[in-house]
Amino acid sequence: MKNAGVNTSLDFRVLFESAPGLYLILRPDAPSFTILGASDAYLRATKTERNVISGRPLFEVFPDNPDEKDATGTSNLRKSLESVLKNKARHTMAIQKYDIPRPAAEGGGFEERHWSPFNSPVLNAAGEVEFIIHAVEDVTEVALFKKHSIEEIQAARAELREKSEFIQDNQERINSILSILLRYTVMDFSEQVPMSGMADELDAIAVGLNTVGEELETHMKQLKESEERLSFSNAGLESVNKELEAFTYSVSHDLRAPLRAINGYAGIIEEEYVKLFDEEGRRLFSVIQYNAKKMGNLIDNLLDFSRLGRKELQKMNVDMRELVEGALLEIRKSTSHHARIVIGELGKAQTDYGLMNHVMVNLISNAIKYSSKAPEPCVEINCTKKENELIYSVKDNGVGFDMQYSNKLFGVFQRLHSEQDFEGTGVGLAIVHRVISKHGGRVWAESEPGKGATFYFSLPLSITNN
Amino acid sequence: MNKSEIEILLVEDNMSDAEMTVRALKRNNIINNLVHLKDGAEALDFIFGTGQFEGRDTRNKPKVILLDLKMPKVNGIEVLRKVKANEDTRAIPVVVLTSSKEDPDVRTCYELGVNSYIVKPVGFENFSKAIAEMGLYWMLLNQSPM
Repeated sequence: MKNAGVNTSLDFRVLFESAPGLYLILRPDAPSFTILGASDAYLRATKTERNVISGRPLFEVFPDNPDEKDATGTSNLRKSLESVLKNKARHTMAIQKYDIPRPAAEGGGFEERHWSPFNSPVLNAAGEVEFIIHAVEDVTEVALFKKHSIEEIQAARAELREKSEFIQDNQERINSILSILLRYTVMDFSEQVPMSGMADELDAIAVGLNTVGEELETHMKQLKESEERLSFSNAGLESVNKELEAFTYSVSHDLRAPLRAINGYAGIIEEEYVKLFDEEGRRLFSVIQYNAKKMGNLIDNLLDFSRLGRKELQKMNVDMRELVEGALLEIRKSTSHHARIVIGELGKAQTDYGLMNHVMVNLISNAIKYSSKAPEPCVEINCTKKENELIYSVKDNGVGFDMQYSNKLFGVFQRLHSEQDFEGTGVGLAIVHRVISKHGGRVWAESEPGKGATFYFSLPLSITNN
Repeated sequence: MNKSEIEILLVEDNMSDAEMTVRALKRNNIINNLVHLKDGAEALDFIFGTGQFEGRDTRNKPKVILLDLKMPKVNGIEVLRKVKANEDTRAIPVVVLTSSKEDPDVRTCYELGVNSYIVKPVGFENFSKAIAEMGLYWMLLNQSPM
């Protein structure tokens, strides 16, 4: 007021009407409570216009929604306003459901609104109520949200009740479904879920379960049949193995007897009558003896091959140099040779002593045999340690062989040299192959005709290391 | 040495093996008195004085029995079992002769108390040598408890 510039420029009416809150100025003329003014925000929220409501009694402008029988909006407001008049103090009301009339242009009727109102007195100098300010916060959204939540909870409760009633009513059917499922877990598909004929969810589950059960039962039957076929072929294999063993025994037993007689009687002739033969007679007779002896060797080698194949590995920590020296002594007993033998650092290996001895005797006597026609036969035995395996090699400087036949080297009765050039039955390398395979290793060879041969075998380190 | 005393009882159905065995023993001057029987049944009759050997003086025991395993009627295992089960005959040394070391009966023979087990070598020289060594051992070196 003291500042004329400020006073003249301030228009309190415009300021009041533009305030963002919802305000109504009332005259304290109970029971009319005539409307004196309203903020624009109030007019917008209540869908009214200033010139329509100004100067009219409050409750004439905002009557209760006649469609809502329990509406308490006006009576609550009246009580609050009367309390302000009586106590000359502010009174805050509970949240009100106070629907507002919708203008005819928007379809008429009422629109649901929830308000958080309070009423505040404006006192004059004498302390009497001059005006009442009715202020309102529109909490419709919060209230509606709460209301909807409550509705949802109620709906959920109702559904739950319905479902649990469904479960109670259908306990027997559910139990039968569960018991069938339980049978499924132990691969029993023999029973089906009975159908109620009600065509409800449970019947749908039953149909699904029954279909799956039938499908699984078919698969199980097929699986069982395959297993039976497999065990049948296993039994077949076992009997073939037994037959093979019987055959081996019979070969060793029954073939040996006549051979023994041939050798024996030939021996008697040689001792007592050979002096009566001429030279050609003696030559022909020695061919018979030579072949009888060879047949004996074949039978013995075949038996070795079969026996070694069946023998279980008995692995121990073997000093390979010691084993090789033993093998060399054994070879010297049956074969006189003049090969130079060079033994490298051979280390220790986890291996079956007897079987590995067989391997070394075979490889070294082969090397000695096939280098026997070289001017200075030499056999080298070495070992290299790789990341995962030990690789042993037996090298000679003999006749060698053509690598295109290397695939035949390790087969039974396979030979790359004629009997005239080098004697042999073709079983030795097959035995080597069998023994090394049993150890989980590999066998191979490198050679060139006339340039000697090197035979290699590997022993996996997992079994060569302790 | 009493000439009538049985020194070797050879039980062998294979005539070739029998002939070679006898020859090998004779050429090494090991035996004078050898009885050769051709199957296990005859052997049991001879040892226990039954059947065709009814009345034989069973106190006249062989110094050693050479026994083949695979024979008709009664096999070698059965003969071995009966000899070793009888108080009177238990002490007679029994040497089993077989064609093969693959023989599944090897174990049974040892369980029944065989005294020796010989695989007949296929080669003539080895065969003669094995028979001669065996004969020498059991006839001359082994001190029989009888």
